[in-house]
Amino acid sequence: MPLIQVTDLRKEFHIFKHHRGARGAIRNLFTRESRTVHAVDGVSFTIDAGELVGYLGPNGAGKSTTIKMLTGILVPTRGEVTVAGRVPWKQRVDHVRGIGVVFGQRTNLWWDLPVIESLDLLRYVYRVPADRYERNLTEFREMLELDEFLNTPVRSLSLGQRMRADLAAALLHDPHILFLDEPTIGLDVVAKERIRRFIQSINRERGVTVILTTHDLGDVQKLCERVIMIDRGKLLFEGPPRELVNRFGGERELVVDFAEDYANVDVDGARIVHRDGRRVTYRFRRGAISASELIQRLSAKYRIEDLSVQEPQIEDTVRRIYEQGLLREKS
Amino acid sequence: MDYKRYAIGDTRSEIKNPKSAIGNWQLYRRLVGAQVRSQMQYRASFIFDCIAQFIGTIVDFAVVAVLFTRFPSIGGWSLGEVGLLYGLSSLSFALADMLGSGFDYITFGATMVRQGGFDQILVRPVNPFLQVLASQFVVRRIGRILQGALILAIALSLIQVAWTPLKIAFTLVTIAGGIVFFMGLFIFGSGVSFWTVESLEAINIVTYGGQMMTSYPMHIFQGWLRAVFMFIIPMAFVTYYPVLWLLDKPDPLGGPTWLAFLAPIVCLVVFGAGVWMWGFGVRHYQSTGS
Amino acid sequence: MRLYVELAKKSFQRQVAYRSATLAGFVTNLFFGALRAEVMIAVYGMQTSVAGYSLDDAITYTGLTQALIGATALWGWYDMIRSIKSGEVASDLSKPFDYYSFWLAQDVGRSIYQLLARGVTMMIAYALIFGISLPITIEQWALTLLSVAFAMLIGFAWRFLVSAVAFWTTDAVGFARMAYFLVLFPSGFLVPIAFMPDWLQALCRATPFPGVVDTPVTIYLGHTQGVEAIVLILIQAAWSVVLIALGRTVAEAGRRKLTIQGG
Repeated sequence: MPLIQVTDLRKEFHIFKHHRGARGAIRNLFTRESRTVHAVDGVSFTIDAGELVGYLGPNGAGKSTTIKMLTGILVPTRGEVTVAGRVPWKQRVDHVRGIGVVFGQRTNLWWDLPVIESLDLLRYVYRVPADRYERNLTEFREMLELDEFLNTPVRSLSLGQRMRADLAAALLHDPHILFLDEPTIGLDVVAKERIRRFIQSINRERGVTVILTTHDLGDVQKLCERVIMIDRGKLLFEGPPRELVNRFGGERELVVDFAEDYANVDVDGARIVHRDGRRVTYRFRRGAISASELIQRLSAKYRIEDLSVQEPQIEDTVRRIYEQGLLREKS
Repeated sequence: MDYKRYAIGDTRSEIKNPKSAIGNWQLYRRLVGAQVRSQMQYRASFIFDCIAQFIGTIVDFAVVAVLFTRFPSIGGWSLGEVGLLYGLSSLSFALADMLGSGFDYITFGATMVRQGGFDQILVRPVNPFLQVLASQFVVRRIGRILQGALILAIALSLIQVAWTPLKIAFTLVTIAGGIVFFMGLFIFGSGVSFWTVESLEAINIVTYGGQMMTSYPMHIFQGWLRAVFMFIIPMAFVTYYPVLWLLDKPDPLGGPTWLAFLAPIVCLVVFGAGVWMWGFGVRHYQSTGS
Repeated sequence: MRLYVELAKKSFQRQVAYRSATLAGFVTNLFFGALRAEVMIAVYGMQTSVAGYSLDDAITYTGLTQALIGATALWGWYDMIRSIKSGEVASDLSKPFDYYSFWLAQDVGRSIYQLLARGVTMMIAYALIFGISLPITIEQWALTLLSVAFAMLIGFAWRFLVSAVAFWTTDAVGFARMAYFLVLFPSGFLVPIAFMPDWLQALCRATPFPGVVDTPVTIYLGHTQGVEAIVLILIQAAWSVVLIALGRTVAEAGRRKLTIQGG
């Protein structure tokens, strides 16, 4: 029996046309012209307990809307959702007691209070028994290195610190599901790694089912066992990340600044997409050649002053999926 | 995998379980405590606000006092009698303001609705009404509360009232009724703010305007205004009718004396309307998001 | 100079966009005005004149004071504080215009709009509902307008001075709220200064605030005329100068503090 079951989920929003001005105000009273946005348009999937699933899509794809329905914040227009045998928005309190949510943009903590006070308050909000609270707190303090800012008010924290605090807060009550909405957005590489390692250990050692929405293919590759990709409210792809990347994973870019002016800078395995003096942009397929291999080939033939690797955008991957005419729905 | 072993606490509905009523109260106290500590962080602002409140109520009453230096009475009522109306109204309003500021439509509309802070509230296993109620406990209102009490005391010293235990109890009920009434208005405002905040400034007519109106004897106002504040938003029951009864004054408008006893019921009805609007707004939020 | 005119125009146009908010504000002001007028009618009872104010005068007074709310921003103005808190001020200060004039120009645009949309309309509404007194001679009209202009200037100068506190403290809003509040009584907004006992009148007149409400009101009602009116306007002008000078000094000190500390 899967932990989370989503069947033909739909969410429509009615955007009312708002007329401006005094005459418009009167028109607003009489007419209700509206435009329907299908934010989630017939999505179905299941998630088993203990999975670490990535929920991907470009901006406006409907990711946040789906998560809001899974957490019980939003009521769908049609369709069914069952989480641990409950309907999230109908049995809100019971449902919410067993989940943890971290929103990327907003914090779950009290803005002006030291982190530790927020955590203490949440203990009462979730009615965590004292010994369990202590045990979790000690563990998180170590794993997330919270001590460096435990007594700092939340408003003074850096983004990375706040994310760590939010993660600890979301797990204090031992939820069996953790929803993460863009957890690594805006973080530097080191911070991202730390967060990813934490999420992984939570999933493997504690058996917490993790659903994470992200824009970042790096997150996907390093963390997720399975990905579900949506765009414009519809399910596009479902499967292991390796398959996604291999089949549709966009091309990576290598931007090279050569030390000299070379007439011909061709190289096997990559194609040139842009040339501007000594700066050349190459594109190469992830499955076809690795970045280090490509760099080796280039440096064997030319002198390189500087280079950088750019990851493909998720929009690229989406485009490729459309191009290959694939729209797969798993029932 | 057995999910139920992760459930903490009683999974039955919180309202039905009497133990959780106490739990809710304790939680309220903790949340309020956190809120107060948050406010204390801004010490300077706190002090300024306290001073402002202090001056504010004196200024308000100074206006009335100045009027009385020029006019012998207001609608036939003496300074002490008007002071009684004013003190009761001011005290009730200040207490309601202190308790119910979480529902103030400006902050609520901005942080909770527009910026989506309400999502965070829905994700916690606590009644959202309780969370919003506990989110603002405006300590600095203490200044205004004390002033209201002071003016009430002064007013009582200026007038002759035939005090009985019933009258004393009724005075307390009137104050409580006023608190409930004004809080009902605040809560109603927050419910509306789920839809729009643009024209909501007009609600000041009801809250602050209401506080002003209940400070004067109602019969001095013109017919249409009185009608609005007796039937549409029943302000007249907050102070006017109760005070009429306390002072054993007949109603110049000819209303029966038992109207005073209708007051607590009216206040509860207004509160109920506010809570209904709130619930309506929450359901709207859950179907349209932020 | 053209720049400031542009700023004023932009500010005016920005206000025009908020139609329903302005309407709501107008309705609210009108309601409170009606409330206060009713109180006046009630307290006057049989009396015809109190402290030189006839009942018509008193009712007109409530209308005038409500009309001036928007233009003088009596209840508060936090734009400058917000810009300092957010750090926008750094870019404002680095631009090639005078910081004080920058804000003044914008406020002129804003207050002219408020005067027209909420001030004049208020008086029209009052004329329809209550019937109000009007200035009789052109001289009175001219002096009234001049006085209103200075009232708006004093109002701005005070708000700027108060907002400049934000250069030093992170929580200027609390201070500003209190400072704005102090203006209400001595300005004659809540109760005509003429109503107050002599000692209280003297106290109020020692502040710049009667110039924000009371002075234009008495000139409008014709209680002060001719030379007396001009004297009052000169007092308004003098206070404007003082407050503007203070504001500029404080802002300069604030700018120096910012550049040393780096915001």
